[in-house]
Amino acid sequence: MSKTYKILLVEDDLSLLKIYSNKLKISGFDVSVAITGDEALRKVKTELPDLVLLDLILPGKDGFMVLEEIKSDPKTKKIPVVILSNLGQESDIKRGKELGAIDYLVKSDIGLMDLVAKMKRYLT
Amino acid sequence: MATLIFILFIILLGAIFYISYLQQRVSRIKQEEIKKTEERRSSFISIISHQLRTPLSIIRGYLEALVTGDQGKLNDGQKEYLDEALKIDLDTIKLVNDYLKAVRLDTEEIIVKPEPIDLYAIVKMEVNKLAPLAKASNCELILIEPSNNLPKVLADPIKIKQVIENILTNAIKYTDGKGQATISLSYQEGKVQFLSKDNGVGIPQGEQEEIFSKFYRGKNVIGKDTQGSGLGLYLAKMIIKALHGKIWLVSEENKGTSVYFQLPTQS
Repeated sequence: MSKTYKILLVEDDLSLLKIYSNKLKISGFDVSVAITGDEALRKVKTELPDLVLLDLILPGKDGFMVLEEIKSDPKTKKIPVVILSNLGQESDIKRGKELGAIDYLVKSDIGLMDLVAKMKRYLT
Repeated sequence: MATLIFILFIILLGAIFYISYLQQRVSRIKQEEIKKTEERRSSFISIISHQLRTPLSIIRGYLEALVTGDQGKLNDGQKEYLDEALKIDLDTIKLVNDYLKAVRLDTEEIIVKPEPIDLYAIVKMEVNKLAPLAKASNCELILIEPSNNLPKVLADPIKIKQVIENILTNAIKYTDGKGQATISLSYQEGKVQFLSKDNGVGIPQGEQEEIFSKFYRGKNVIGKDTQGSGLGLYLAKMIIKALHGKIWLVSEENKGTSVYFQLPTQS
């Protein structure tokens, strides 16, 4: 990648945060992290990342609320959001897509290499 | 007399209205109960999904990071151990996913989004995807290209991949070494027919109907060194049914199993 893309990783599990952020950094992305919904919203507005990788179960505002706010703010609505969650019911996937997520990934089903490949596909 | 009839008529009318009111009330209470039960089940599935999958995802992440060398080079012995641990983690994720799917199928109608698809292309993709597993299990997957162009089928691509994967994984798992599974497609009675024919352990007579039931595993494979939830063919049947197709099998113990499914074509 010639340009360095910035990903905001929103994840409240510290082990997963470490795993994903390390892998994305090794793969050439600039990674910013947030562990609560409110922190995620603050960082989306101030940092304007190229993509948001968003968990759903978060302390405070949940991922759906965060996604809704990102998509309702003219300043941030064009930022692509990919949901990365261990919830995987059809109703969750449908809701996430209806709120504007470009993809819905289930953490246990996606390997690190596949995750990096998806990020590259969405950003380059 | 007329007054008496009138009073009786009014009482009867009142009774009818009252019974109707009670029926509506009972029906409303029942619907509310059903809704509450569904909400509780859905919430239960969400909690289980999150709590079981999260530790498995963390283990997967750490192991993958090690196996791919992100934390430094490994020697062959270390890599072998970590590969084995990762395989067990992935198998467990699959089991959890299967159980969750089965619970969901109890609570909601399976949702399919049929669209015209090239079934052969999808089968080929799945065969290629499973080739490493087949090789590791000493089983050969042979895909026969159809002699004629087949019409597109109406199916949900994601769900049909799951069906094919479940059938082929069984063929690989239950061929007892030096196995072979031949996969072919044909056009039959206005439908596209899939066939996976293996030379595996087969299914005993008398169990061939039950094999499509939830959590059922053949008596001849229980206790063998194979993992299974007894959900693969159950899920396959539910999906094929939702796609207005049909699925069945022909099997002989110690000779092999042929699994068929048919799907409607785009017309």
